[in-house]
Amino acid sequence: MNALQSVPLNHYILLSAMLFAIGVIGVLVRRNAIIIFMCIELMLNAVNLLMVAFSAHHGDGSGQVFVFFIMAVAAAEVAVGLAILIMIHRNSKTTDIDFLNKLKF
Amino acid sequence: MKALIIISCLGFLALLAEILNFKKHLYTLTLLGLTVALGASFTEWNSAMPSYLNHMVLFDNYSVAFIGVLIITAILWFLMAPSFFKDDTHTADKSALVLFALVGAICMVSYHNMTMLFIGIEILSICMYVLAGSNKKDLASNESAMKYFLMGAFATGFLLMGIAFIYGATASFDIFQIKLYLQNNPAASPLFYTGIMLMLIGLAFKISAAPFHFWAPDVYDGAPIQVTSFMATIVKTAAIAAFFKLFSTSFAAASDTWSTTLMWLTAITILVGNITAVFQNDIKRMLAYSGVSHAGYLMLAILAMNELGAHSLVYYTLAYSIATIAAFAVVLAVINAKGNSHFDSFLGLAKNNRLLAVASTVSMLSLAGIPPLAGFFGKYYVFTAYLQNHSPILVLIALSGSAISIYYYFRLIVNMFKFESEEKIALSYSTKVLLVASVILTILLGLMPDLILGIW
Repeated sequence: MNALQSVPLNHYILLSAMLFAIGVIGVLVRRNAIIIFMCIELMLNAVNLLMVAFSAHHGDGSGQVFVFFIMAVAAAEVAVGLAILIMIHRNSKTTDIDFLNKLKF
Repeated sequence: MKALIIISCLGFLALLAEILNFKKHLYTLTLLGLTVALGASFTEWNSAMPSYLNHMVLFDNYSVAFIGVLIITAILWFLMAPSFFKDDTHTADKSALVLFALVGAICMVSYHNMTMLFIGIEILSICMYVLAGSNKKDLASNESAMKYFLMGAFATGFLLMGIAFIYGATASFDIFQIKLYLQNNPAASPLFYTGIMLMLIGLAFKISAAPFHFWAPDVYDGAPIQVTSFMATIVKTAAIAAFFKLFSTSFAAASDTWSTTLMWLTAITILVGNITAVFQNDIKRMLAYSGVSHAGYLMLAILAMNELGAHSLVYYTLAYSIATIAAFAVVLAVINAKGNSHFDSFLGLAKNNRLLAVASTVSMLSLAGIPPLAGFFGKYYVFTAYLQNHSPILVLIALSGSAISIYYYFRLIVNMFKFESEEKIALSYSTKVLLVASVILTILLGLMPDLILGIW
C-alpha cells in the first residue's frame, strides 16, 4: 500500500467539502467577475477530487471518467464566461459585477 | 434516439450554412428538419429496446412524450422568432446554438445516467449563455448573459457535488442502480442524503424555484425576447422533466427525507412567484414571475410521484409552453411597434388588432387556468395527481396563488380592451400562423385533454 492510499476516505471528503465551501463563499462575497469564475472552478475541482477519491475507494472507473467530462465541460464553460466578460468590458470598461445592476424594477 | 441524431445533424448543418452558402434556406430547412424529428421521435413510442449507449439514455414513453413537447415548442418558437435570425451576420451560428440547446434539452429528458444528465444540462446551458448575450452592443443583454452564466455555473457546482456524494454512497451513476441501492439499504449512508439535498438545490436553481429564482426576472428581462421565450418554455420543460425523472425513479424510496423540503419550496415558489408578479409593470418581468409560479405548480407533480403525475406534467408543460410562446409573440409584436413592453403599451390595442387581442386573451386565460382552456386542465390534473397521496394543504396554497394570478393576467387583457387606440400593428406571416395555431391548440387541448392523457 503506498502513501496516498493510506489516507482515509474521510479526509478526502473533508478536504473536498472545505474546498467547495471556500468556493461557495467566494462566489457569494467577491465582487470581481474573474475571481468569481475562479471560485466556481474551485467548486468544480472540489467535486473532481471527491469523484476521484470515491472512484478509487469503490474500485470503479466510472467516477474518473465523469471527472474528464467535468473538466472538458468546465473548460467550455469558462471559455463562454470569459467571452461574456470581454463583451461587458468592451461596453463598460469594468469587470466589477456591482456595475451590473441595471435590470431591476 | 432518432430525434436526438436528427437534431444534432441539423445543428452541424446549420454551422455549415455559412461556409456552403445556403443561409437563405436555413430557416425553412430547420423547420422541416424539426418536423421530421418530431415524426421520427413518435416512431419510438412503445419501442421494445428503448435503451442506447450502454444504458446512458433511455427512450421510454415518458422521454418520447417530453421530446414531443420540446420539439413542438421548438417549432412554435421558430415560427415566432424569424426576426431573431434575420438582422445580422450570425444567422447560422444562432440557429446552430438553438438547435444544440434543443439537443441538450432532449438529453435532459431521456437520460438514464447522471453523466448524461450533467452533459445535457451543460449543452443546454452553455448555448443559452451565448444566446442570452447575443445582443452584443446592448448592456442589458450583456448583464443578463453574465447573471445567467454565474448563476448557472454556481448551480451546476451544487448539482455536481450532489452527484459526487450520491456516487460515493452508491458506487454508480445509473439512476436505476441508485434506486436498487436504496431498496437494498433502507438506511442509506449520510452521504446519500447530503447528495439528494445538494442535487435538489442545483435543480431548483435550474427550474427557477423560489428562493433560488432571483436570477430569473433579470435574465428574462435583459435577454433578447426570443431567447427569453426559449428559456421560459423549453429550458423549463427540460429541467422539470429531468427533476421529475430523477426524484421519481432514483430517490422515490427516500421521499421522507426530501418531500418536506420540496413542499416548502413549492409553497414559497407559488406564493412568491404570484405575489411578486402582481407588482410588475413590464410584461417581460411579469411573465418571468409567472414562470416562477408555474414551476411551483409543476413541483406538485414531482411531489405526487405517481403515473398521473408524470402524465399531467407532460400535459401541463405543453399547455404552458404553447400559451407562453403565444404571449411572447404578442409582446414581441408590441415591442417592435412601440419600443417597450410596459403594460401601458397595450392600452387599446384590441380595436385594430383582433388577432393579437384574441391570441393574448386566450393565452392569458390559459395561463391563469380558466376552463375550458388547456391551462385549467393542466392544473386540474396536477392537483388531482398530488391529492392521490397527500393532504390538501398545498393544493389550497396553489389555488390561492392561482386566484392571485388572475389579477395580473387579466390586467393585460383589460388594458387591451380598455381604451380605443387607432394604432395597427403589422404582423408577419409566420407570427399570424403561430398565433392562430396556439389559439387552436390551447382550445383543442382544453376540450380534449385525452389527446395527451389518453395516449398512455
